[in-house]
Amino acid sequence: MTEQTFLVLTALAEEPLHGYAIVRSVAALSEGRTRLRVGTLYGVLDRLVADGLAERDREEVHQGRLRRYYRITETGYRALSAEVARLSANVRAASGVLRARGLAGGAL
Amino acid sequence: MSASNLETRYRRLLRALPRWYREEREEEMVALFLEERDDSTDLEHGWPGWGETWATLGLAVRTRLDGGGVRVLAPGAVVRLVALLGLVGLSAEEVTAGVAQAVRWALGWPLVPDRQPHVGLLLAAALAALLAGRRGTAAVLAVVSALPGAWWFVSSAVQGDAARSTVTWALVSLPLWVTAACLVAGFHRDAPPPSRRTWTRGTAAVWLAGLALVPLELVTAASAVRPVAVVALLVVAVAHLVTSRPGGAWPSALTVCVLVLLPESVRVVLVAGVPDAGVRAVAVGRVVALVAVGVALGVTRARRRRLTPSPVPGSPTR
Repeated sequence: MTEQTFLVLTALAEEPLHGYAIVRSVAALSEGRTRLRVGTLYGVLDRLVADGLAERDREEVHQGRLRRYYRITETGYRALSAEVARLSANVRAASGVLRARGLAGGAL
Repeated sequence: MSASNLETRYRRLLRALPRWYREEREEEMVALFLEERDDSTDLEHGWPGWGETWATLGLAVRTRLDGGGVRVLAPGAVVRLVALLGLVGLSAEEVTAGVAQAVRWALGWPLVPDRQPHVGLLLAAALAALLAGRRGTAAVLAVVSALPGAWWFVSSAVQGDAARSTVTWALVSLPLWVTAACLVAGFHRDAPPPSRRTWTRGTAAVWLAGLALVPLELVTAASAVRPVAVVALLVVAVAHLVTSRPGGAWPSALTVCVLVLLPESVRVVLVAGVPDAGVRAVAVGRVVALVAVGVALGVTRARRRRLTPSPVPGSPTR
């Protein structure tokens, strides 16, 4: 799972969101490190929908513009949990190595 | 609401996307794009920007190759299946020829010239890398395996060899070139990985089936006409036609494989002139098998098309 996919799925895990809300949520989750372009976001959403990890929710019109909401599926929750477990294991392993060398960042 | 110049420019950029994708997503994308671009000067004189342009062009490539999960049958699925079938079939061909060559050597029989064991090794390594999730490595290995054929084709053309020689190199190398191109194009970063279990088992089955052809190879030197990939394709096609549900990437991928293998097979029978009766029989059998598979796939597809309602473009599949 790419970092962008991981962040979008994490954003949707909180509540169904429309495109702009996803972009803002991803920026907040990544503390500003990841800013999704429109083309990038829809590539990620297409793949999530195709893989059954997310699906379309409702549509709204806001100031004359279409807003389409997306929500995470049960499969998406399971995939996110598995990815969190995988990343956590990696973090624990890396922290152990750094701690053994007495370097900062090993504290977890 | 009248469109600003910026909106017009963005909509122009979105024309890089397929029409069916724009019909589904254009308004949504425009709304999102304009959310943070509300400065009047920007709306009058601004343009989408390099970052947005590259992201949109990347999305255009992926949707054209992959379908983005929006269409029922994605071209990307066909491309990836062609790459996998090519890797399995062509590597099996080289494994069979390599084993037969080893048996000949052990028995003290004359060896068959013009074998390319390195191609088989590279393809097997590419397949292993792909199943291990190392797509970049797999793509490099597949491209390297296709380079010798490309080199001989180019040098033959540049040196002004007989047109027949140049065409021969192109036809002989076509399956490798198509396999490498499909691997590079189909297995991009966001493409779904192939099932490791299914393709490992499938590869083992095809390689073992190829070994069953070693006696034929020893008797006829059939590697001169490369029958293993065609036999594997025949078995897979029959299994698909007998057991599968309609739709999916298999019919299109199998049809592509037939079209890639058929020209060289026909050339051997009609042009090359094969003196050995046994090899000629294998060569003719190869053409008959490919034509039969192609006709069966075409008839089945036409029949299913009559019976199956068309999917609604743009509707989500899952």
